[in-house]
Amino acid sequence: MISDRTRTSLEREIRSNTVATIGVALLLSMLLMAVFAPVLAPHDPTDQDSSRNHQPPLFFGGEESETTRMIDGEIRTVTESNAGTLAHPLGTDSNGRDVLSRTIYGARTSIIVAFSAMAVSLVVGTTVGMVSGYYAGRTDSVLMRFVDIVLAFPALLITLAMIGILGNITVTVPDPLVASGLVSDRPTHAVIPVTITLAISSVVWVWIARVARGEAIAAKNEEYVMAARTMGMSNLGIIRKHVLPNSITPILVLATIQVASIIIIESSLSFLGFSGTTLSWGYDIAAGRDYLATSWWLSTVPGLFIVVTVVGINLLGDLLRDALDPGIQRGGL
Amino acid sequence: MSNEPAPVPQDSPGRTAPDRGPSAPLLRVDGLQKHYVDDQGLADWLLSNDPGRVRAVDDVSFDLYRGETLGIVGESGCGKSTLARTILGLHEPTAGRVEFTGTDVHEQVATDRKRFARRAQIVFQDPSSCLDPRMTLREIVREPLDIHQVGAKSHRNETVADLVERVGLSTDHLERYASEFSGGQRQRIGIARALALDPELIVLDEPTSALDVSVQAQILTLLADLQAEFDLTYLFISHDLSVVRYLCDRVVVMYLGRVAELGPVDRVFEDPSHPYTRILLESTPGRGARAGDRKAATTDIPSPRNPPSGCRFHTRCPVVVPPETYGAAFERDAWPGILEYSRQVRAGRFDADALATLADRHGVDPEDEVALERAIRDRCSIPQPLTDEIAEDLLGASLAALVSGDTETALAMLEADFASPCAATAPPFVEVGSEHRAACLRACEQDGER
Amino acid sequence: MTESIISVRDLTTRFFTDAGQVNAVSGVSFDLYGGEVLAVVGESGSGKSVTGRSLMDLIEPPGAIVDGELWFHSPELAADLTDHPDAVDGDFVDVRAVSPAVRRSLCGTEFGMIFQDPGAAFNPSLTVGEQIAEAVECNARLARGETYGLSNLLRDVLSPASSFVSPESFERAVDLLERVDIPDPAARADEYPHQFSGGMLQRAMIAQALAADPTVLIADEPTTGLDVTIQAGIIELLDELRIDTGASILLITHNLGVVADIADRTAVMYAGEFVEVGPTDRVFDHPANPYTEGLLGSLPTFDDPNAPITPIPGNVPNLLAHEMPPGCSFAPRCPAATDECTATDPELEPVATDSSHRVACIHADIAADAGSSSLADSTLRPIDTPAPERGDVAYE
Repeated sequence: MISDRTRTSLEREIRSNTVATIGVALLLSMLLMAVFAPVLAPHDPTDQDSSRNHQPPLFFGGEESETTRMIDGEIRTVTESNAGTLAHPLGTDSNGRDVLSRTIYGARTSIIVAFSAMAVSLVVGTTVGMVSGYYAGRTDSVLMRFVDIVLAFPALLITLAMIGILGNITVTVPDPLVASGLVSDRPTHAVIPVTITLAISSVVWVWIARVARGEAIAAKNEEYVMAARTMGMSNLGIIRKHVLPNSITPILVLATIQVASIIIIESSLSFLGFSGTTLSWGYDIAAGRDYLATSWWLSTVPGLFIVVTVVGINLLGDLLRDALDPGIQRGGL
Repeated sequence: MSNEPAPVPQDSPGRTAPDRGPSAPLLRVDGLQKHYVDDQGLADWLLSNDPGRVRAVDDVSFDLYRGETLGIVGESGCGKSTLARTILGLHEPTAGRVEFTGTDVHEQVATDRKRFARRAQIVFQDPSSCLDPRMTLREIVREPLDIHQVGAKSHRNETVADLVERVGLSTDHLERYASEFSGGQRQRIGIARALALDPELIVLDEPTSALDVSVQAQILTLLADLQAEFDLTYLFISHDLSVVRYLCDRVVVMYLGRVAELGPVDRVFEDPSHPYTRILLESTPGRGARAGDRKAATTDIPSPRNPPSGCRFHTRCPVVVPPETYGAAFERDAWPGILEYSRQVRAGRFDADALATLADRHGVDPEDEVALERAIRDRCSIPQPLTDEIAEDLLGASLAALVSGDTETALAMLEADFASPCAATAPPFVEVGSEHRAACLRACEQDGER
Repeated sequence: MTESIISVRDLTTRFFTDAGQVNAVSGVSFDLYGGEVLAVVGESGSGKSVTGRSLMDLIEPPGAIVDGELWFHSPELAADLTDHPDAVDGDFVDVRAVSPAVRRSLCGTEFGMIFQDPGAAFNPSLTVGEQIAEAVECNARLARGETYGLSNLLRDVLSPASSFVSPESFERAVDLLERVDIPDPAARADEYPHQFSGGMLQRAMIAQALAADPTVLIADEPTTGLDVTIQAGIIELLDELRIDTGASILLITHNLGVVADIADRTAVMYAGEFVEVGPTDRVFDHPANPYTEGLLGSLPTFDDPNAPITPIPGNVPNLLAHEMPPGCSFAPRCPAATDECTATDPELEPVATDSSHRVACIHADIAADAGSSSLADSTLRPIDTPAPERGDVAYE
């Protein structure tokens, strides 16, 4: 699908647009983090140790406080410092788990859910949109009314309903990096929350379908589509050869930007406790909520990662839009 | 109308084609109708409102013979493009038939679209939209060959190269994308693509209207050369009469979905029988007539959504037939003024404000109804009084209603008492010369007199 | 009427795009006389529209007028501008040398612009009457020397009762609509642009251009996209207005037929330069430039259907500075081109038989003393002479 021309314009865009390049870099680092989580994470994200709970990030904390503890059978008053340590650069949570490691693993969940939900949505949404836009008439009316109904409900409500219907399906897959023996002391399996993926897809496909339909209608009225019909090309052939290739750019741009929305929905669902896994940014934000006054980093760190990822995706979306739009001609009058 | 016009039967247009011998037409369009019905919204459906209807093509018949170029001219909204697309089976007709070598096109398309595609092709108007911007020149011209699996795959590239050279493009540019070509070059690519399947008929839908004159000339000469070389039949759609005259053998003049006049180009353009053709000719720029010399129908073209009754041109026609009740003198002296008066009333030019302005301009008291009536008659050049007494009384009543502020009654009276047959009856299509036909009541009169 | 209203000298407008420098207009000089119709014809990309927009100071970045003088006849302004000796020559003012505010007021009060696409020239959310009245109002305010400052803006925004357009201006708008033959003008003034047909909207735009009682109307492709019957009506209206108001019209078009119908003089443009200027009859009947000849030869002649048409080979050059052919820009397509043509860039010079007819071609039959009347001196002695009066038109 990617022609020479598309590649050159992408390359040119990346060269000329610094902000977009930063976005791509942010997103790439998130992707790498998710893929190589077992290598990058300094600790096992599930390793608990109540003796070092609520440790602040490096360079924070440092107040000394007196606490009463039982040491060697005696009750003593000791002076403790809660300064951040290099071992846990982003601090620890209420169970003493390493926040950095948890956040790195959380990226996996977010990115797997986001990409698989978007893949499902793209396939379903584009198909429905193309059929609806190209065939028009009654087919279009029926499909689009259904789309309208889905759009009329808040996204979170539908996903919650889907979760209610589907129950909690998860697929556990062995972590290839751990299985290959490259690293040890890390969770041996990764959990893919299937329910969440499907629930999110059930909302997102309508956004894609709407745009795909509009693009299909525009492309179908071009004279080259009419010409293909006079040549005797079949409808499916026309959709595949002319309508889809000329509609795909805006759909891909939208899909890229909507990946950010999916990450937010996924985090919201995890925040509400509907995640299939505890290794999720949303889950950690929810868990840190009770300690906001004392341990701000518990929610803030995963929150910042969400922000960075979402911003990165949006910048990438802008870049794609500028690079792929044949309407934006460079040079000339 | 005492003289019964002799309409040519609608089901056998062009039957009398002596010089073409017994050959059957390549294409026969018979009573073709194509109406677009608006999408009915949910609310309309619930209220069972009738959906709107655009009568794009309404009862069109003509024949197209092998090897000839038939022009279809008309202004926007006359249905010429819809006609072209319906002929090619891209739209389903609402009524009527299109026959290609004797069999119904829509049956042919329904059973085997591909087979029909090899016989009839189209070249479109818009060079920016007729080629897929994501395809290269080679891919575009190869596409029809691939669809129809013409010849061996390796052989197809040779065919493409031949076609590309034949339409005057360089084979060095085969790998260029459509968007890298100029308008004229893209039109050449469109022509090469249409030629690829070696069709008998090519529909040319305004192929040069978006091009500069020097490029238009290149395309026109190319089309003429190709026709001779490949023995092509053209259906040439255009709004440019000069181009039609240059390229076409016969011409169909369309107005609001109907055929106004049909015949050999020279006869139709040199001795037009339909007032619409005459106006089109007068409006064509650059014919030595200085602006102001001609009387153009400057009023808007009515919408094909709600076409006028009777003869569709009567709302703009300068020679509307007068009502039969009054004599010949009436037609000469009074009718043009009354026609002007009724058109102005209909256009709302005599509402209260306008009357006040009129009174002001003529320096009369707006309350003085007699003076105001005189001013109106003056403006429309209606003689004072009319020689026909009955007509004078009826006109007087309408004028009185108008100055008293009752425009609706004034108009109703006019429509009842001065109704032209043109507004009531759709004129039949009559022979006005050899192979030359027109749909105009005036033409019928002449026909009757002959 | 033989007095020049606008004298353009060496107008050069360029666009600086990513693809390179585009020489849209390269050293164009001409005069527009009082009450005449001067047609500028050319194919797309010849720079004719940019010429018109340069006169109205409507060139936006990446484009700019890089050189030239635009002398407008304006005795009042010339008298006011005594402190700008560079910008004044007799009754003429060089608008490129005056301040933007003066330029704007001059353009606003002396010129009316008619654009090609009336659908895009009207704001869809305001009624047609309001928009014409706005033009009337702007003009009245300019004439009174009022400026529209921040306080006016705030007042208009904050108080819904206050309106930019006065009732008098609206009345005048209705009069203008009537002037351009729009039926039932009072009612149509309250309608929105989408309720107008293309032809009616074009008339409304002409009404808007008339708001200032302009001395010059610049019509940029005023009939392109209109049906022939409607086009004929618009041309007729322009001709009528010229006679009634005495305004000069600069008609920019690609339609040679329209030019033949209405223009007194015709200028043919190719690749950003004027290649031939002269009385319309002369240019059409005795074209001196091979391009003009080619253009006329490409046109099917209606009244002689058997006359062959001879297309000009090749395409219009794209005006990119680094891709322009050397010497005469038409040389690569010209049937009469010689080596000399690619070596020298020809200037407009009077033809031997008629000094009002000037041509840029080294092979043309140029008057012997051509050198003395070349464009080098930018005095305001007209470089073109007006067309002889045409008997069939009653000039005011």
